[in-house]
Amino acid sequence: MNLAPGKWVRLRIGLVALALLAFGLYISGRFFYLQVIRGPELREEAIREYQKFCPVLPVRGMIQDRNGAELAVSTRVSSVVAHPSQIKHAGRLSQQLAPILGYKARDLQEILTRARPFVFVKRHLTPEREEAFRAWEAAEQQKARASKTTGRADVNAVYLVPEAKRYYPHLDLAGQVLGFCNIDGQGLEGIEIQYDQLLYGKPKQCWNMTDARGHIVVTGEKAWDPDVMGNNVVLTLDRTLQYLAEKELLAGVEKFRAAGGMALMIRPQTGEILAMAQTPVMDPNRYAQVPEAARRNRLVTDCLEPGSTFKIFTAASALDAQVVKSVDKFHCENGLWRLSPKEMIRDVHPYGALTVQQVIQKSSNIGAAKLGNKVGPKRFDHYLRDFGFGRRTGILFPGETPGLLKNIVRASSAIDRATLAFGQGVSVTILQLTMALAAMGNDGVLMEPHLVKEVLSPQGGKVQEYPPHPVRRVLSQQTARQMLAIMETVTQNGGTAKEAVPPGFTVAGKTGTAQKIVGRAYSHSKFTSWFIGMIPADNPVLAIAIAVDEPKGAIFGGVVAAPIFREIAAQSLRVLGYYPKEPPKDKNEPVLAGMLVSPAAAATGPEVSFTPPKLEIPQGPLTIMPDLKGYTIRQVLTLLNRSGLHCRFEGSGMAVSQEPAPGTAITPGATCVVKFKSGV
Amino acid sequence: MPNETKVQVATPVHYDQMLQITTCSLLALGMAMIFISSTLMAQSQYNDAYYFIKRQGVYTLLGLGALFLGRSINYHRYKRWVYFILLLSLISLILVFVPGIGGKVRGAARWLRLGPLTLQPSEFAKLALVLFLAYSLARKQEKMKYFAIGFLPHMLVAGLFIALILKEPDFGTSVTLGAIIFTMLFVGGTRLTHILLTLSAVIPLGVWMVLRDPKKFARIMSFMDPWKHGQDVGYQLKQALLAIGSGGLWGLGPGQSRAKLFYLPDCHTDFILAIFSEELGFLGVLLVLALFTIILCRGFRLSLKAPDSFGSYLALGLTLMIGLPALINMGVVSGILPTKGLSLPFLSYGGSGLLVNLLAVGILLNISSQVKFPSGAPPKASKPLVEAEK
Repeated sequence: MNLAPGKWVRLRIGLVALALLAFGLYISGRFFYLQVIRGPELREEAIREYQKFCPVLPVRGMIQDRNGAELAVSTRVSSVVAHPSQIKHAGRLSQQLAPILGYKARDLQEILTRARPFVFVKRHLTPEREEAFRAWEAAEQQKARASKTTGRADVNAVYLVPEAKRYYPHLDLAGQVLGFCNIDGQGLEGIEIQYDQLLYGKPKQCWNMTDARGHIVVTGEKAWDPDVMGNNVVLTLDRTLQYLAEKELLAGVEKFRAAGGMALMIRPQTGEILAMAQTPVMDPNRYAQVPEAARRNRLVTDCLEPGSTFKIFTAASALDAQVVKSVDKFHCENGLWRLSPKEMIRDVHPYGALTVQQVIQKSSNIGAAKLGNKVGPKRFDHYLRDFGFGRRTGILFPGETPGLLKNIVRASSAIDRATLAFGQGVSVTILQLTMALAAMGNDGVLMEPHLVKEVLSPQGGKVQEYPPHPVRRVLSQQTARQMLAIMETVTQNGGTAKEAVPPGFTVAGKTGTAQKIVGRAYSHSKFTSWFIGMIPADNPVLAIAIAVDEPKGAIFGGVVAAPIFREIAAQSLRVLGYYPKEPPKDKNEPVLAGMLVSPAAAATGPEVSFTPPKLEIPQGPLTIMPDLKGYTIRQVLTLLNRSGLHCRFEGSGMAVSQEPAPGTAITPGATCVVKFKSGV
Repeated sequence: MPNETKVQVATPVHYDQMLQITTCSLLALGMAMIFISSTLMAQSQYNDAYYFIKRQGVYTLLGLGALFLGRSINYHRYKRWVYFILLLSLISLILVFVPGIGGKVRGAARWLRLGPLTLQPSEFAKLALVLFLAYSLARKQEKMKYFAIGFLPHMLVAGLFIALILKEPDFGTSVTLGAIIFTMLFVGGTRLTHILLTLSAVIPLGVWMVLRDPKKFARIMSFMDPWKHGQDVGYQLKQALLAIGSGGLWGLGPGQSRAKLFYLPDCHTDFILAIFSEELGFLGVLLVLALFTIILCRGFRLSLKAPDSFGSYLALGLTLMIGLPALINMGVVSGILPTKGLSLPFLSYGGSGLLVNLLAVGILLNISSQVKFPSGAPPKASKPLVEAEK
């Protein structure tokens, strides 16, 4: 048996133990220094290491139609970003990433070596590229982990961040109205730029705790954060009506191989724009692929000569100024009127004497010119400016043009003054023209057009509201009614636009065929075909204007534009819940409209019930006053005009009372007053 | 006589309960920390959050078996097997380099693959060398002074072992082994001049090796200034210091560590103390230090009280085998010493180390059961276990 360790050995063991214990004490001192004395400082440093201050991208608000359907939304896509200062092998990294992101390796290397703390490498990846990038990222991280090199791998300096991307789910529907955004979500055109500030939302920053691979562990970002969300803009457009208008317009434009076309549908009583269509169309999702010219909303930014459609404003001015009566006759010079040896005005068909109503119905240039003369340049100019021509309508839309209305008071020659009366030498936007037309359907009051119904906050509260805004009274109620009746004859037998009437309805409208100005002269081969009208004629719920640019084969508004009006009007009325009382006998009745009724529109139901009375209208001049109860304005007007009576109308709808009473003997030229009431 | 012995074996044997309880406390603490710090890594690497803790559970059971084995085998028996164990250990160290049996992980050949098991022979080599030295020192006693008897043979054997381990390469274990050997020789009575002369030869060699290897040089550089090299070579140390510092006095609370979110590499093995101090604070570190101090104190006490020289040297060697890596690891984690791959006994994840350390504790416990108490105050129960020396 070995001896127990000796004295010296025991001493040395004690020495070793002491040394180790001293070292242990030193370690505890070191931990005390690190954790207690420098603890707070190191903790802050650690938080800087673990947490990242990340921008929270603003979520751009939606653009919706009047029933809440989304026309423009923001979606999440991924973008590749990098911290160039943390990348050690930019060359190798760009070699790997170039095919994944669709770059040339050299270009990518240039991006990855920029002297900036943060760069965007590729914005808005397609889902395929995103998937490829994620696969590469996972593989690289696996490799980095396996190699166990100290420090961070390059893969951690390149990663994906979510970004908002504007998406237009209906593609080219109302494309030019909506406009589009750039890649950072800032509006560049249309509603997007007009309401950019309200839509944009508020960018914010938040602290995210990430792990060393850059994955967020605890985020300060909220899943639904109204702080960063923009407001939603609710348009007055109706998605279904917009679709109908675009579809029928395109069909018409293709039928006549036209260069383009426009269609505008508004509510006369409120000035709300229900549809704003044009061809060629633009898909705002791919605006870069569309030529610059097709990106703008031509209904607002471009002006055209209105042609014969302008005659209704001439006639309305004359009637309202009471310089003529609707039964007054004008001699139309059998189609050729020489103002001077060199200046002449022609009609398409020669006419003799025509009443005011017939001048409009037959669209006589000479008659219109004589009407204009009768009003007088000063008053005529005043009326036209009251209708809103030559100035901006005030619609909240970028790039509106005021059009061009020369001051005819200072016009040098008689012909300049005369041509204005039938729409030459004046240029208007289709929007101005439609609003002026709608004033006649709104008892003579011009409304301000508006495209935006309201702006809603993300929580649904109202930020802004746009109630109907009357601009001014242009015509007396009586003149407006009279004009409706006169315009209705345009679409009846003997008028220029029989094609415009959908079966079972009545239409008050006017055709136009304007020569386009090419260079400095009127073209003889390029025309704009017009039809503007309101439906139903006696109580308009829609005012629709159609313009077809450079149709081929046919040029007259009644042939080219009127059928487009008919199709749009018929289908739109159905969508809105207005039906003819008797089923139409026409077999070509479109059925598509019924399928497109939006639930919201169906739920609200018809706003006005339209029931044309079937009353027997006595033929020939009358000797005693008939009982007018239950007649429409149109019927009363036809009846009394035939007997040579002047009439004054009050209210709208069906006749309820009259003065003189039924049965009284009447003399031509006397005035009678008829009161109307709707919903009888 | 055999009958008598059996009856007396059945009577309770007095082991050092303090050592036993402290070890088990560290073991339990280690299990908890490995679980907390490894789940994320296990999930991302093996798709199983319990990958490491399941394995560690098995190692712990095996280790406890080793502890009971070491406790029940009379330590004097090792005397006979010393050379056999030494040879076995040497062979296993060489086998590491044989392709097919040895497993190469990240460029280092440190492991032996035996079916589902992977063993780290350098851990067992430590135990073998300690046994050998204890045996040799106890035998030579007074002759230790002589260079040819007391110093040269030990240096040759140890040098061979260290050279093989350096070849793996495992710099940390080599340094620890060297420290254990020199300390034991110093205690055993070798002339200090021999030790100092050797050190003056070995240290320039070590410095030359460090300077030659850019990886090691970088480690030293990063140790000098972890903040400057925080993005590359000093990354691990910087993250460790941040973790320790953010723990503060009370810690962030169990499971609240953020450094384990892949910021701190090796957070469940070599750097587990950083996570521990982040979650449990300075008080937690004090607890761990206290537990290790108790083990060290009991070990040194044992080496003073052991019934014979062999037991004394063995207790010293085993205590150093546990205590030195522990202290060096703590020094590394807190930035006092340059980084090397050394795990923290009982707390770090790892099978071979745990097995060997628990076996060492078992042997210590066996030695403790044979301590003679002057007043006879545990009864002489342990005596029959002592085999009579021939």
